Amino acid sequence: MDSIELLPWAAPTIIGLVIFLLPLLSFLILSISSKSSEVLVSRIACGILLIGTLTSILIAANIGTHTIHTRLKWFEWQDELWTSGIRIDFITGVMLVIINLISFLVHLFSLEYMKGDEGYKRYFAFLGLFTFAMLGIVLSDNLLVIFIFWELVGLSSFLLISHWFNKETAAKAAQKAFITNRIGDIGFIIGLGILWAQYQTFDLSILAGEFSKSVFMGNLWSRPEVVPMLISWPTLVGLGLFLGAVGKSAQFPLQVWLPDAMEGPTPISALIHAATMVAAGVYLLARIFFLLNADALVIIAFIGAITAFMGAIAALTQNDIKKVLAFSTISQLGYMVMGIGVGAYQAATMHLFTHAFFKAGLFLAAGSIIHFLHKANHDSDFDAQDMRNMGGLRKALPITYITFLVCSLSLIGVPFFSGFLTKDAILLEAMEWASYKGFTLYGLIPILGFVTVLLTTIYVSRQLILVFFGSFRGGDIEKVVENSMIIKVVLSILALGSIGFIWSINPFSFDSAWMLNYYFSPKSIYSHAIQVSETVNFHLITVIASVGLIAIGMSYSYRKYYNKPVADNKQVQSSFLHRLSLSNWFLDTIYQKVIVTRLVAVGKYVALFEAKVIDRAVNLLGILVTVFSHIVGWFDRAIVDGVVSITVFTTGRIGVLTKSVQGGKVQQYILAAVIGLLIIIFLLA
Amino acid sequence: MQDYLLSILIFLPLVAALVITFMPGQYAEHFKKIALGVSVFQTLIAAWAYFKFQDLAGVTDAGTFQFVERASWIDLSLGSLGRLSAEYFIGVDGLSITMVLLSTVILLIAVISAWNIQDRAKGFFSLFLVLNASIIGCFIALDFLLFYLFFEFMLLPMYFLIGLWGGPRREYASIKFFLYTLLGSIFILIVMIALNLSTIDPAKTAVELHLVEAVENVTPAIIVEVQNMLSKGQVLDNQMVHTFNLVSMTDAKNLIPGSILDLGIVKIIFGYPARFVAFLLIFIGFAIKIPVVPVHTWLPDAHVEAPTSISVILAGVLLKVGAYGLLRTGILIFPEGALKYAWLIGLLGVISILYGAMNALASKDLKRLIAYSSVSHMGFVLLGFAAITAEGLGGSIYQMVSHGIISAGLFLIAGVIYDRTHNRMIENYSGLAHVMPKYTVVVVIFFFASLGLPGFSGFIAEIFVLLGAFSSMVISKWLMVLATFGLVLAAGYYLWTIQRMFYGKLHLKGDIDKNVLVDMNIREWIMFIPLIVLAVLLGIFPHFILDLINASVETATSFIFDTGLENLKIIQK
Repeated sequence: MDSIELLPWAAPTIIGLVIFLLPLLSFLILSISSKSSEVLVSRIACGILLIGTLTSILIAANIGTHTIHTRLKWFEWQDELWTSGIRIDFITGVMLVIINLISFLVHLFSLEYMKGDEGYKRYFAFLGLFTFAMLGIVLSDNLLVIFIFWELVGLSSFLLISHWFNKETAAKAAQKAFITNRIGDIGFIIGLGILWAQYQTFDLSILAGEFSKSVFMGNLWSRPEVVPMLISWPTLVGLGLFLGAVGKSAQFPLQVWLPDAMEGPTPISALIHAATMVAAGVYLLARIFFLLNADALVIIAFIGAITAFMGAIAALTQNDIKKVLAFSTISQLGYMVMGIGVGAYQAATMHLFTHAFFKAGLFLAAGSIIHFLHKANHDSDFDAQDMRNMGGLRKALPITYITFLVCSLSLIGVPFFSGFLTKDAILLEAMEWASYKGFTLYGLIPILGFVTVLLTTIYVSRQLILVFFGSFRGGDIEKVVENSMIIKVVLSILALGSIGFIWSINPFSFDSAWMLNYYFSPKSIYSHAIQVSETVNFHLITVIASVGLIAIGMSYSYRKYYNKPVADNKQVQSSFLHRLSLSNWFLDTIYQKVIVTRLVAVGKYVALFEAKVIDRAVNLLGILVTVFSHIVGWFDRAIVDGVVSITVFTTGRIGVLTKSVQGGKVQQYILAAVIGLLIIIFLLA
Repeated sequence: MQDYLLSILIFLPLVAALVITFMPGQYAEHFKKIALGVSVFQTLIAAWAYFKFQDLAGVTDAGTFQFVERASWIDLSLGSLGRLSAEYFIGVDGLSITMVLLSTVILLIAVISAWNIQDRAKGFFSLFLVLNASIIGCFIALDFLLFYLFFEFMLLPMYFLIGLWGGPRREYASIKFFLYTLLGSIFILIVMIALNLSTIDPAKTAVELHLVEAVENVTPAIIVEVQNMLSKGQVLDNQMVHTFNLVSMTDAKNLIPGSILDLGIVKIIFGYPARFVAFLLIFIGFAIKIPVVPVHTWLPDAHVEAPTSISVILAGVLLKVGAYGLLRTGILIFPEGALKYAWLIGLLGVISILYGAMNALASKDLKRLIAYSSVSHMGFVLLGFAAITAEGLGGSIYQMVSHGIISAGLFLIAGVIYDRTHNRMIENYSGLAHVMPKYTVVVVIFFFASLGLPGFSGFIAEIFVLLGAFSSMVISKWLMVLATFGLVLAAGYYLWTIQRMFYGKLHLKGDIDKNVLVDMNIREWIMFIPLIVLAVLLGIFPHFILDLINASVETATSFIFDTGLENLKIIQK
């Protein structure tokens, strides 16, 4: 292969580098500053993020359809350059804005939310570290470097989930999140291994070019000058990297870490576990779209649809306000992954963008509620996250109510809100894809997608009713005012971003979204243009079906939950379906029993094997050797005495020296060694 | 000074050891300062060598070794068997300079960690310096006998350092360590003697043949001529100069026809060609030192009982002597064995990775956990060797350096808590982050570094090994896939430890007094900071190491692969 061409700096990539390093600067400043200056320093951190946000908007607004790429030498190895660089195109630009903006808003929100927290400084420092790592993922031009930041995102997520490490649940959740992500990363590394064996580069643009030159002959995947690999390997590349995305984007079967991650502070959930980190998996899929072949895509589509459905089912019965949102995030990420799987590249990526706004808005609004309840009720038994303790909050928290409502409607996918545009676009393409591939099996995917629309409507409406309507169930509360101005402003910005008009002039037509002029689905050597039937108007069917399902869902929730007493837990929990939903399909129990417990048990058995078998054998051998050396020693004294008397004398002296430490074993051993040596020399000569 | 650079590295600590031995006891306070001074000076020399070092091949080419010193050492006539020659032949190439650099740094950190040793300080520090000299000697010796001398000599100070300054079961641990390693040494010794009997030094033989007057006048053409004569049987037995030269041994043309390890006329031992048996013997010998499952059980015991500074050296440097020895005296001299048994080496590497990790998961003692993690991480070195690709071998060397740095930090971590409480049981602690926040930061850094988090040196090493193993032509791709599970297990045992010991509410069991849990002091920071800086630096800028080993790894890889295949063909004919 030709050696990799280096690409010089250009203005946008330099700005990109600055944006990338700003949060690192924030992390470093916070790390070395003293505790007394923490309030000041965290404000500086907000300022740094604001600069990052504004510069990102500048880049996104100017990048257009260009791709600016700077590639630098990282190191040289065996006459090949290993490069890393910054690559900015429109998607990168939008991601830069989203990461910086939401990180900035979360910073602002946290100024109020985390006030007085013991780990205030640490919290803001890790926020900076996280933002830095996340920006690294979107700016990198290279899969290996993406993997580096991918893992650093995992680290900062670990550190932030365990922010209140006092709580055992938080400590365990952090651990679970990291390890589950690592399981996904096995796939990522294997994918990297296959790509390396075939192309000796991780640079995405070079890979895209090389991949198109791949030749598939018989059951072999080959390129000139490279040992061919079996045809199943390119599928495995896609699935391996997808497994990484499954971990990070909380897809089935690795979605179990995300609900637990709610143990972290709520702004963290908004930033990391709703808007950015979990979106990294989808972002990765978009970046490697060119190498996903038909087999891999089908599996991706199924995993996405299953996750969307499972997440929505689990969200139906949760009582913790954040848990509902967590399962909803899993479900929405499932939509995105499903979108990638059916080839709805633009729709899936745009759903990632719109979701970032409305879900961050929902989480921060939930944070506002929790914060308010904490201020209002100081009872130590009071659970400020339990929706059964809420109700009627629309009067106490009007701004929070309105923003939560707007974001919820977007999440449901009500027309005129951003979620409607992008979710329906995914569903539409899923329908077209299924009709092209054959409805009998592939029809399951759009069907799961539509069922999830219904389920989403039900759980979101339930949440709205439980939190904001009816009367307050949380006992006596002190009269407190709604949260500060900062919180209101932050929530309003995010709610504004969930309005359909922001994204498309015509809020009924995804195709008229302005962003679509700036980025396009990459060409894949595998992709065949889907022949859409002219006779069926899938667009109309999709809109009618989803609006109809939303109407059904809302009326169901209204009848079931509005002005009804909150069901007694014990009574309902006896139903199997209820337990299935509440426990997230029993996944935790299954994994605990089938994997974790067994793994720890295997560890114990291995340790036992080590002590009882290997070590005992070694000790036995030691005894045998000692006995044997006694025999040899006698043999030596009695028979070979003349030959080795000098040696015996010398070793004897050493033996005397060491005898105080050991019962003479060393002496005998050296003796045996010397004799052995002599025997060997005689034999070999 | 450059001419005697490496000799200074070896003899300085030996001289210092002598000085300490003869200094009166009332100067006990100064012993550690002498040891520290020696280590600082050695580190400076090594740093100087680092900047002077050029990226040249070495490995099989005696001409491109650097800082070479060569003098006749043993030269005796064996009568009809010819002459036996052993040299004081030292020098470095990319494979060894990295190890020398690592050793000097780790030894320096180890001296600082031994700062509080009061008990029999004279003995401790003089043995420590002897250990220092023999470790460095191992890495720079290019003569097998010289290497073996240093290799064996390491045992003596190590045995006493564990046996006299160790924990409660120190006697068991030290004798186990000693016997285990000595057993390995015997295997190596057998092969060394066989190699000596089978190999000639062409330059010295040329003198014996009266082709030239003196060794200095030997030209490459004469070497070729001697080798031709040798292959045609024109060199008489009593004209042969048997050598221990490790570089000569890599060249099959120096093998005496009909000798025990000859390629052409294959000797069969136990049904196998002698060269395969020799390779396996040397592999077992060094496998004990590395250590490879199932001959690793001395390691956890030795670590648990050894004082902190000795654990640091043991994990940081001594294990690398094993891996380095396997490479230099095993794989490079018997490339066909390395090729033939690549599957075995790779498999044992993967077994070590997983078995070590499972044991770490089950460990209740923090230090034992770290010891098993060493077994697991050294498995990557073996896997990289087995791949016989540039990435694999480069990754192995990188892993040796990286593991040296990180495991030193890990054992210091165990030492910090043991110094305070004399208790290392994980279950006895909870919520340490509340009382020792700085210590917790250091623990988190090293745990994540050790579990292969990108940004730390371990990641570069492990990803190189994995890439190399996957693209290898000689081992199964499944080995790499299995090895990646080690990464998950590592995350498991480290994070579980953080969660149990450092997170949660402060809670102590086993009669631990809360008041002894003071956070890190200056001396401890001085030990940790250089290690952290190195781990991060090598994690972000791999060229600091890769630029040293580039040419050597390239030469070694193609040599092992090409010559190995060639030799295999000859043997199997």
